[in-house]
Amino acid sequence: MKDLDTLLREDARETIADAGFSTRVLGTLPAPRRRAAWVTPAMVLGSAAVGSLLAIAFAPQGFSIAQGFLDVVQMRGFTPAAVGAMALGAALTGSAVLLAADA
Amino acid sequence: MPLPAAPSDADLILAVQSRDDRRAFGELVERHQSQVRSVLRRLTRGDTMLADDLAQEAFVLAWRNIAKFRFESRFSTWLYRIAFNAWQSEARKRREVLMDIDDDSPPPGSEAWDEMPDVASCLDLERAMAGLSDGERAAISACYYADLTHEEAALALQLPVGTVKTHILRAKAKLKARLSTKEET
Repeated sequence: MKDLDTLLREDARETIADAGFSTRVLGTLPAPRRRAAWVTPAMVLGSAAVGSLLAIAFAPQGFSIAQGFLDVVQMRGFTPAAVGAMALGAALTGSAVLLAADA
Repeated sequence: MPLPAAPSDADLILAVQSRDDRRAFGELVERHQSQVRSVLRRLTRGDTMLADDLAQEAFVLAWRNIAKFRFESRFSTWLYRIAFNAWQSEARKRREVLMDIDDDSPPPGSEAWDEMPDVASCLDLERAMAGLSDGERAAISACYYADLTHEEAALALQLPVGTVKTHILRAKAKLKARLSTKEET
């Protein structure tokens, strides 16, 4: 007399002979598609650079990143330039975190 | 002189990840092929050809994605997740409804299961399992045939643990009923 658990476990323990299965699998494996090591950093940094350039290009007249960083350092509050500089800094920090996580 | 210990799954995975070692991957396939094919045979209701095709697809996907394996779970759990996904995709193509809980199924009874007669053969069990819903078959396959814990099965099937437990209880109630009926006839 067997309980259902025993019956299921006994059935599960039955092994299936390989019979060429592993060889067939190995025969169909595709060549590894390794991305070159420089591709990911280039994509992340490239995206950050393009985003920053677009932000600067479409910024209001008289906007200066240098002025923005100066405003941040001197704690002049949330001037438009300071917000722009902080956004740029955040984008670059985000890129650095992504690259570090991928390493 | 003692024989050198066989490399662990982790050693083999690292070899594949670091240098695309096909021989190491072949060893992993040999180690896990029986269980993966067995699980898929249960999932496909005994269709051995389809099960082997899906197993092959699962191993190829594992090879393609092994760089993403982070050792956060057992390799077998990760592999079964791929196999279950392959089966689900195939089942969707056949417009089957997956992971359903039948409301008309017998309610789960006591955890203490009655003993089954010896004549309940593996063939009877296979037939009885074919009558389970997809979700129930998947849960039984994961917990018994893939030897996963409820938590690992939940991870592999992408279901809440409670749902896996419900599937198991319902499946066992149905199996017991079907195998008992078989014995009476």
